[in-house]
Amino acid sequence: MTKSCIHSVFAAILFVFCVAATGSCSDEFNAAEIGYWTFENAAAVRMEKGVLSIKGAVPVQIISPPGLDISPEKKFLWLKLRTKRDNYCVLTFGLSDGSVATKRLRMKGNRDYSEGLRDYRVYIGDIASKGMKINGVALQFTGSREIDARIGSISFYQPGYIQAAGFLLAELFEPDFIDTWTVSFVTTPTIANIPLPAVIFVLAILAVIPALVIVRLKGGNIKASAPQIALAALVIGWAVLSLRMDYNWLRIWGDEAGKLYGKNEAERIKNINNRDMDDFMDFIAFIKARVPADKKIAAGFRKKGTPLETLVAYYALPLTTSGAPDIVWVYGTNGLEFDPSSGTLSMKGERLPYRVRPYAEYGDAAALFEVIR
Amino acid sequence: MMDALYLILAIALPTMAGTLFVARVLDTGFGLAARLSLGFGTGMGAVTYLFLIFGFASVPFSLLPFIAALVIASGLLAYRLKLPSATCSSCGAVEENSGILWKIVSALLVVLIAFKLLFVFFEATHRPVYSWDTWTNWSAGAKLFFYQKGLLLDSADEHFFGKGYRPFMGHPLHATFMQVWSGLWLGRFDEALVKIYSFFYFLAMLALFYVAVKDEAGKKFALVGTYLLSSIPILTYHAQDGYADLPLAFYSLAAVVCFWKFLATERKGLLVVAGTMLGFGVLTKNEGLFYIVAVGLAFILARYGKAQSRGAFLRELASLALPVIILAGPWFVAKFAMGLGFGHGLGGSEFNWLSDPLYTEGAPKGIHWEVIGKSLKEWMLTANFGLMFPALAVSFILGLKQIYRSDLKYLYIVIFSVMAAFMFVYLTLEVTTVMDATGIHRNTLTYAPIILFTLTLLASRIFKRSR
Repeated sequence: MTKSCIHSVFAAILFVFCVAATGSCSDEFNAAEIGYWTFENAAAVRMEKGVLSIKGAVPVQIISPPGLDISPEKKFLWLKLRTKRDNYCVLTFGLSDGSVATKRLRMKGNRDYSEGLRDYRVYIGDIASKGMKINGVALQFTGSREIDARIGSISFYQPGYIQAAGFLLAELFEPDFIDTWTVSFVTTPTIANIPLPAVIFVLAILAVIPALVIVRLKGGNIKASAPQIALAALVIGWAVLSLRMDYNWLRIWGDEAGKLYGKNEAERIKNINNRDMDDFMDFIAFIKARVPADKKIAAGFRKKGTPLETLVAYYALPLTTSGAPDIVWVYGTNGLEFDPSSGTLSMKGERLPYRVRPYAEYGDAAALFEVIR
Repeated sequence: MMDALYLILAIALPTMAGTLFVARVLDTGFGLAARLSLGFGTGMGAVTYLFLIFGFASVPFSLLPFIAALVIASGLLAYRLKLPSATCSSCGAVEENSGILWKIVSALLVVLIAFKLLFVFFEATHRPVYSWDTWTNWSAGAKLFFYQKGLLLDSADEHFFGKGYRPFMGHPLHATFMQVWSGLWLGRFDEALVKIYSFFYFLAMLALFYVAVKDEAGKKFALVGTYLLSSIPILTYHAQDGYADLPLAFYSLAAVVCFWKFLATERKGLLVVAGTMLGFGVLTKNEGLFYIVAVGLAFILARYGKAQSRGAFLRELASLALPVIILAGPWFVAKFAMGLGFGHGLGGSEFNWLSDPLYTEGAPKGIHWEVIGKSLKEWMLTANFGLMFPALAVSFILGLKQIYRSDLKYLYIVIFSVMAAFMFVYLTLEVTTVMDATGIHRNTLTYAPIILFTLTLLASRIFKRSR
């Protein structure tokens, strides 16, 4: 009798948990459906085993058709996707009152896609008020020059309480990665988009109240103790936040050890960049191998200070760049026109101010030209 | 293995010279760890100074002249040097009773600090230069100077003084020279190892901070404070890349620590070291000027009318100012003579008062008040500095009486002066740097260690653990 009672209680608890843990409903768009959405700057879109593969130059955008008519009760956007490189995704939501809301998602890349798709649950419970609808969503991938992404599904999802708590915990412990922006600012952990420092600060201040009550009950001096307790609460809160950030570095270290340890310099440069630099670094090595050390180089059709010009200028050293070059490099030959009779090199209406002749070819998308003196 | 040996020498040789300088100037006031930390900063700063001297004298960059200069300087500094006691006699270290709970907490904090150091060391030695601004502002110039073996000071050269590789010609060159220095020792420009200096600035900063706080407030405050300093997220990232903000943070903290010690001991040697650190700060970043103004202001407010005589005050002022003038003066003369300017941003080396072209191109000129709200949001609600700014605000209110009644007010004068200087720049020049958060945290990083140092001292007073 007692045993069956215990079983019944457990069954009831399990039932409640299961109901609470299950999302009550979702508006899900699978890869096949997303394939009919609008794609911008995508050079190639194709379906592979139920997953949409997208390649293109930044900024690649996927825009849903209008009129999705999603209820704001759907508190999470659940994305199953993966990018080749560490990237960002700007999520833009069109709302029924004509306004838009945006969210920024940092996405951990996986260069060979061996880890499969990754689940991202973005809290969107704060973008629309009651009575409003989410009319559409756009995903803009950015962060590296070339975008290579795979998408399994996009769902507007309303989880149960326990599942929502799990989602928020996952959001809180979403690991960071190092990129070119990291020296400017770090990613702040959030809970339902509320910055963790704010949450901890409020909790620390609230914790002061019961502590002061205890001091009072013990007959202590509240006025004398209050500054000490407040400061102690803040330092403990600060330490908690620090531990959360330490967790980032533990994850990053674990991830980067494999990418960096025992690898040669060229491999490490390729591995750490969230730009897709593999081919470009090989091209720079090609320039250094082919161009004699006493020659000067210049970028063709790229202004001084633009990203690829800067990177070649840096990595090609000791070859120096010059306004009066011996060799001109062109990376990306789409639209390139060379007239052998006059030695003119032009691209999309722009012409080089000096005569050149072919010097070396790098595959079918990059080349070196020698300036004719 | 040979790389490791060369890099140890690249750090040890300047540190030896710098430590001997500190020992020569300071007869007391610091223990060995702090002297080594200050010696490291002094030595690396001296290397930058030597690069400028050799560069302008057209001496080709190679190890021999640098080694000769450092060894000769070390010999001269060591001559008849009475080695001071390694222990700090004037420090009021607090006797503490430690329970088992504290022993567990302290062990945990030590492990966490060690973890941070190991992580930073791994990244600094394995991860190639990766941030855009490191490439463009510091590393491209370093690589060019390394391969050209000089500063290219022929005005007819299209790469005069790094032109074409250094978009901001007026930027000081400490971070650039640190990378050339590592390259000279290694015999190649290693994309990861050239920025090893950042790790050592991080290490030296933690050591200096720990010792400076421990001497006054005891091990508990020192260890907790050092952990919080080591865990400042943006600082951790700067400790692995080849940037200039962390060295400036070290120099400004070192200057403030020496100034603080001077207020307690009135030993002029501390002002000489503070001035030396401020001078090297200016050779690191233009923002180093803010620290000269801030520490100078705090010094005048602290000492004017309180020194034994006007003559004594002037001698103290000279102790602080002369090293700054000697170290920074020639660089500024060169800057003005060569027309290098101070500016930063899209306008190159020119100032664009009241109109940041990156923010509002073509918009009417004006003060951008919106940066105040945005700055507060960035400081209070992001994780870049942990809970430093909420703690600064709350502790300032709670400890106002202690601050006003003690010398701590001079540290707050330094902090608020520097913050005001940066805010002036944000309001009138560099709006974008705040509005898209690309610069505000880097700037804040340069004075964050001073804030934490001051906070820790204030906390020790609130907890009645120090004088």
